[in-house]
Amino acid sequence: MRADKEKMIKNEIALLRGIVNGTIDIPDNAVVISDPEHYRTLMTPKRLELIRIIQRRHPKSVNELSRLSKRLKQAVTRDLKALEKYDIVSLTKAGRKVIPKVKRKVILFSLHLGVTQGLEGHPSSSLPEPA
Amino acid sequence: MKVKRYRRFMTSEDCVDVTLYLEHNTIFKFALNYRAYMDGRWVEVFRVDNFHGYLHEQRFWISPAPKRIESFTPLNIIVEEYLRKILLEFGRYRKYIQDESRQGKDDQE
Repeated sequence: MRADKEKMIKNEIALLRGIVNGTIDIPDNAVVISDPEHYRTLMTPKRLELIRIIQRRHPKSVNELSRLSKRLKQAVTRDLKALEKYDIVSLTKAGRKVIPKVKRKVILFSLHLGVTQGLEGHPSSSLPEPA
Repeated sequence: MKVKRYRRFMTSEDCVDVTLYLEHNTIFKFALNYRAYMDGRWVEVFRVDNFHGYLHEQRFWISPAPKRIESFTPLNIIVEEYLRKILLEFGRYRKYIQDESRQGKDDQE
């Protein structure tokens, strides 16, 4: 537990220093996660797919997103709520409709992996295993 | 001048919002804001910044009033130290704000 915390702090300080000295560039307002397991749990392939659809097709309601993703509305709503909690998507009410929008990019940063990984083109299933 | 903002999750219910204003690889303005997810919303728990021209902390389980910090240490080091402190202490801070919120509810009853 103690070792995990030290690793987390080391990781975080490395990220901060990298940003300050310009060697690490992350998108503005990004959500940063450094535990690959945490990243995998949050950014499941289905949630990544929802984010891609929102970014590319700009659905005007959850119903539309459900249709575009070919998933049940309840399942889509559940995933949107989880992403909203992390401030990755916003759900704006417009009359009786709820419009989903992507607010922040999600970055996996790990000192061990030595990289930052953006959302696009990095499905969680392809992340390398931590040592 | 460059502004960098990011939200760092320590757990699914604890995060720190980092805001940095940078010039020539030096921080000249910053804010670190630790928030905890409680009762379905993100609650501010601890904040340190120099946004009003002076360095100050806010410990929300005590009061939102800013407490001035006197320091001549370069900001790059101060930010690192505070970030380290938040990452080490956020569990304790969460407990304080939960206790305070429980106390408030008890007082209302």
